[in-house]
Amino acid sequence: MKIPGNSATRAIPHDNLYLFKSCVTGSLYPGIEKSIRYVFDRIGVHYTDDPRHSSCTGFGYHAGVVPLRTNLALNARNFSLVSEHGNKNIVCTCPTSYGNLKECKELLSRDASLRNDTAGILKQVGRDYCDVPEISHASDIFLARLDDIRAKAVYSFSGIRAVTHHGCHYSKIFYKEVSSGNSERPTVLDDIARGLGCDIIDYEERSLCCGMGFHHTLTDREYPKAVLLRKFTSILENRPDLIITQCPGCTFNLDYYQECLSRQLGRIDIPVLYFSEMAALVLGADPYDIGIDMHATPVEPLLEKIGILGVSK
Amino acid sequence: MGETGMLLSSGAIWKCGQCYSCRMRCPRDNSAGMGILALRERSVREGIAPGYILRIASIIKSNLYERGETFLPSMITDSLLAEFGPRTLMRCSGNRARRIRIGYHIGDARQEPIPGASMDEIRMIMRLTGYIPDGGDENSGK
Repeated sequence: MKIPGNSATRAIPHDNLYLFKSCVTGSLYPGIEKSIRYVFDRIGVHYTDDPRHSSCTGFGYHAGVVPLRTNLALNARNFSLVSEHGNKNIVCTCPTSYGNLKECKELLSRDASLRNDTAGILKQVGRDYCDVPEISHASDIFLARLDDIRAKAVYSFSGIRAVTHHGCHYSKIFYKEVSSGNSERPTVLDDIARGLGCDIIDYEERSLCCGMGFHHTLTDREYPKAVLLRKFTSILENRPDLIITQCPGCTFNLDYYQECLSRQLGRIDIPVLYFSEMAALVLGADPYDIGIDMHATPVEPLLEKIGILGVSK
Repeated sequence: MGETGMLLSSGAIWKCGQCYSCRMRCPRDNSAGMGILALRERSVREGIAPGYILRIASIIKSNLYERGETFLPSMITDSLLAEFGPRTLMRCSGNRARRIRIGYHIGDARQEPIPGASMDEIRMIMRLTGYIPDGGDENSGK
């Protein structure tokens, strides 16, 4: 059996970032994007928030409906925008953007014919082909700056029993580059959550995909339901207070499917929070400003339990 | 080649969940998921993908052409919410209005939509890469 990649085989940038926004995050949970900005602003992480970049196209590419050639050229354009800001490091809010941008960067770096074709297309839109430095996921940065978050914390998740679910496109595509733990057992979220006060509970199916499957969630919900039935059966063995996520698609699946799975599993009602929402709440963000009431499974009872004000009405 | 043709027209290639467990576990560093993507792309290009995939393909192409985004808030419809259950429908059908409260647009994934000049570049790249025909729009490329 292949030995999974170990932690930290790459340098994690701490600052000087280009914020790469996700169409799935912005459509399903815009508050996640707001919470990332909130935390960066509070702890002094400098980033460029450029409206000009396009979607990474990863949702369509992995559904099989956006061609590779278009994917490469649009992301080469995105890389060219990043280089205008002094070659900043890209930070993604979504693991699919993270995996897809890294895939594009690798393909363009190692395949001269793809690079020449893409550079020719960019030339026609008046842009030059540029490489980019590091591509990270926001959770990498939060982990690297965890001490800064803890230093400004005004609330704690102390006493909350949580399970974590890492995004497949974070830990399984570039499996040697997980910033804590390894691809079979990533611990990026575990480390962040422990730092914010949580007790982390293990469960057997922690590396099982959420079943998003891209087009499946829109066209064939039997696949996500079957995968989530297995996942929640395992999670419910220990009935945690909270599920912590790293991907907007996983957040949606673990959050929205709870009601329909209750027909087989009984009432579930375990709130799901993105790591950045947790960190923003710990730093004192107004829960409604980061859209906490946009979650399908109510988060409000958990927030009351940990004493965050303004959510009990 | 005959077997490739069978794969292209079968439903098997659309079952993959693109989780890449295959990639991280393969002892030879291969990735079945990436191979499936190549087959999916050809199946869509040749118009032999199942109808429900061609409909999704058309929506995603239109989203990218109109907004520069593949996924948009409009893809979460009330009929989809109702499939999850009555509480989810009741709680989340108001999320479009909540987007405005937290500073986002109802119909766009971004707080600040992609500017027009950038959209021109994005559409030009879609044409130059053959994703939509020369001189066409996203509708003529369906």
